[in-house]
Amino acid sequence: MTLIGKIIREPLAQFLILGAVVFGAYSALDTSPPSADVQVIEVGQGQLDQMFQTFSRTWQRPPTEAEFKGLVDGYVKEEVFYREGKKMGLDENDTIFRRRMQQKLEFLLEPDSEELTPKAGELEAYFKLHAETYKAAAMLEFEQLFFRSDASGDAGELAAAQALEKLKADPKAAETTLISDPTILPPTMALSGADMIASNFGDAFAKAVMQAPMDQWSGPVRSTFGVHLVRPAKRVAASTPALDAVRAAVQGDWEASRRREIADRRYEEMKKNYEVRVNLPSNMPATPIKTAGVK
Amino acid sequence: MALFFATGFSHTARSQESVSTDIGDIDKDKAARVFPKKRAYSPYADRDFPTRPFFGDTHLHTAFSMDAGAFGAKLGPRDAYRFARGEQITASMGEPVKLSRPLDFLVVADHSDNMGFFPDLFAGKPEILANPTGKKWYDMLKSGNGAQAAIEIIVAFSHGTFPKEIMYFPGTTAYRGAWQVTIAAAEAYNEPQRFTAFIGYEWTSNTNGNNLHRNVIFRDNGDKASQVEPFTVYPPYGSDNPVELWKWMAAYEAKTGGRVLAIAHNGNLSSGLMFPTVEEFGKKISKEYVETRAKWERLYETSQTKGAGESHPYLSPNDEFADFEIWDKGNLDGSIPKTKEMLEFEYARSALKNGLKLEKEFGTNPYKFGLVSSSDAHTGLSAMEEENFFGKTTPQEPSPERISATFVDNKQTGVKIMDWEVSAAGYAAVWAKENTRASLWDAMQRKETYSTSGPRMTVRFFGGWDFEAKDAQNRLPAEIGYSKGVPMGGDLIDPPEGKVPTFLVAALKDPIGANLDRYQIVKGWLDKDGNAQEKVYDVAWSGDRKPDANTGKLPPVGDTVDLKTATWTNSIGSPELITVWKDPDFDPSQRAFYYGRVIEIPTPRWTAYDAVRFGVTPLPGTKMTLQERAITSPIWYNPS
Repeated sequence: MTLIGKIIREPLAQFLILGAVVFGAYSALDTSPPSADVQVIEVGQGQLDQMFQTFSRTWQRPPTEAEFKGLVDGYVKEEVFYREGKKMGLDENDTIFRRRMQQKLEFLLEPDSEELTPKAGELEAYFKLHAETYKAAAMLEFEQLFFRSDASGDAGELAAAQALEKLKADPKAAETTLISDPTILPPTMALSGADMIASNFGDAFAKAVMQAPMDQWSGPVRSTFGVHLVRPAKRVAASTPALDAVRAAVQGDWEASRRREIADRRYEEMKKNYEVRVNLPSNMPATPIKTAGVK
Repeated sequence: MALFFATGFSHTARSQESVSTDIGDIDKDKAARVFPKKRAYSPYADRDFPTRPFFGDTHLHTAFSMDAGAFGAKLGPRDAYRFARGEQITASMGEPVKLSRPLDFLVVADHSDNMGFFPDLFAGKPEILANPTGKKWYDMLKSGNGAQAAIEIIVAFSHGTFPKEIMYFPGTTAYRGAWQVTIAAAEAYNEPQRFTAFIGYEWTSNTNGNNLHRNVIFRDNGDKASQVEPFTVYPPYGSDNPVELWKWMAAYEAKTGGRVLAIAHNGNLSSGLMFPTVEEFGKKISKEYVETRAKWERLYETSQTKGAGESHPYLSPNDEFADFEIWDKGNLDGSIPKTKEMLEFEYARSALKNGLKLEKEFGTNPYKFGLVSSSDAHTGLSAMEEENFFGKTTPQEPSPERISATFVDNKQTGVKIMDWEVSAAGYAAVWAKENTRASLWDAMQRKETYSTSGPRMTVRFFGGWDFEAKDAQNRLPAEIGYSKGVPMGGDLIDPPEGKVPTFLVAALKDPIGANLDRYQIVKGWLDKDGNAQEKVYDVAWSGDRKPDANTGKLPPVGDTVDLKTATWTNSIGSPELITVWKDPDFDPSQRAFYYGRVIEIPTPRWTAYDAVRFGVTPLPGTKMTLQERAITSPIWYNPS
């Protein structure tokens, strides 16, 4: 089939017109067969289509005739430079070029969707093997009152202890009067695991609050900010979920580990085609790499 | 209903959100008529304002970025999201790495130019299998000869014998490969309420080495983002002129109904081109330019690995904290050395000031931006803490050598930047109501954000006309803040007779970090002659320090850093600061902006941790300590 025939079959009307115009321009130059030392740069239907598509998707509209011609000119220029550069061997021993090749290969060797679909029992086995990872930690919802402290923490402890006495006499004291210090810490911490509590208040506080008695004010408990009274309101015990409850996470992890496995395997396969010889100089010291290492 | 109620529209202060209403302004009295004040017993019911900041990175590169890959990065977008979510992974150089705490969100922003890889050939698409060569390769891959297939494909590609039917079939174009894979990774790891994986890319305008880069962030999901190709820089598809990027953004929104925003960064490497006031790309700054820029660029990335960009000591000689992680030797590739004249058009504070002038001239302020920081790391690892810094590029991942290696060395100009100057910064903090793409993006759009150089400090900054000292003594300062004023990113208008701007400010240290030295307010304004002025006020500080009677300067907080062990103690500074501040120098006829800056006590810089952990000696002049900081988006005062 002729090129023009292909273009005419293209369903996009604008593309058809533009493609024909450009094709016309280029084929006009192409009337005589190239001499032996002239190479051919063929801009085929596929390429034209790709340019058209890319432009349309970039700008959310088709290119004008001038723009489309610009795309083709740009492509031809790039191709000329690419070929001339290759002729001169500019691609060899170029770190960027070499790494780019590696990247492209790695990208190409990505597992396909079939390889990333767990076979029967595979996900279950993975889940069993990594059960520890999916354990749901104990969670706690609590209120807290904050007491500013000096460096020793004594002032805060004293104030907290006094406030605790008031709260024992009147459990609603904190709602009606200001018995603690102002803070932008959350007055109520929504149901959270010890990790999340620790990342908001510090480790020591998280440990203490997880042990605090339910539904009553207690303390003082120290955080990295000062001293607190705490009142746990809801506790959810640690649990081991069923696979279905965490399926998305398990599937994601399984997929990630599978990707790594396949990438490693494909590299090893490819490497098998090579015999690697590292010629170390004979006078090299026993530990050639001078690295202090992490203390 | 809850929204109006809890955010409380004060009639003289309004948030960015309310400005855009197309049914006019609503004030407190009007709102009260429609929504009579009746509170629920529970003080938490119906509370509808952001109660915690979400921390993340709007600017991370992976191996999908051409330069990152060339530098040896092996981690892709999937790895980047997993790491940000708190998982331990292996860095490209082989070190195990994990964050101290998960991030709340991440934008993988790979360079749009040269993002191309191969099409997803072997997804088993029927059109590929229909092609004999495609089928052959597919079978080779299936039968364990993937390596051979790959080599054949490479050869076919470079010899131009790649079957066109495969290569150019719509949906399998070479370009689309990496973009669609990037989108798929974001979709896979986006988990509303727990972790937001934004779709985005970086548009890397870098002509002559002048950094005009912008990150583009989608509010939308993959269904919309995948309808479009990222805008590139190189012609014929792209352009290095931001005006063209804004056109692309408009085209995307018009076509898909989606939303995008752009965040510029590293004005410090732009040779004075980032914040123009006279002309850009040979064209005079016009009303259209300022309006378009203001529309699309509502945030600026002030600080990242390639230097901080809030202020410069030359521009702000009276600001003793201006000299922080500065890169001012040249542009990105060192090809143009820095001159003093460029600085004014490179730094955020001077841009905010010049924005007031342009607003006076054109009626719109093009530089009315909020602030974030981010990493710009090219490692796939958003690891920006001083004691857990995994470098800007893969060769700068932890090693004994990185402290003395060179980042830029331009032999022609003599511009040289050492690796030790690379900054372990930073993160973006966003006051959103919930951790979702929409909620975080909306908060960015209304500029309710702040920048941190790494630590996760909690910072509040409210402006209004009626804050009083006792508001800082309230048990729930944020509620007072939203009901009597506007948060960071908002506007103050129509001052009631005799009133001056008041600010309720509060900061909480990073729970696992260093204490705070001080909370400052930076004010910029246009004086009666139309000249831009600035002043830094200390408004809250730790201990019982007194400002110097002559200079007005607060004495330094002290320094507990022990470089031998790379440690410090929280025996100085304060875990939290809170106060109400009134502007002592207010003139209602002068347009102005105010922003908050929270300074930590001195702590070891990443170089100090390296020196101790690797037992290496830093080069002379290497900075070993720093005072980390958070900088809020401004609140603007606009005379009517």
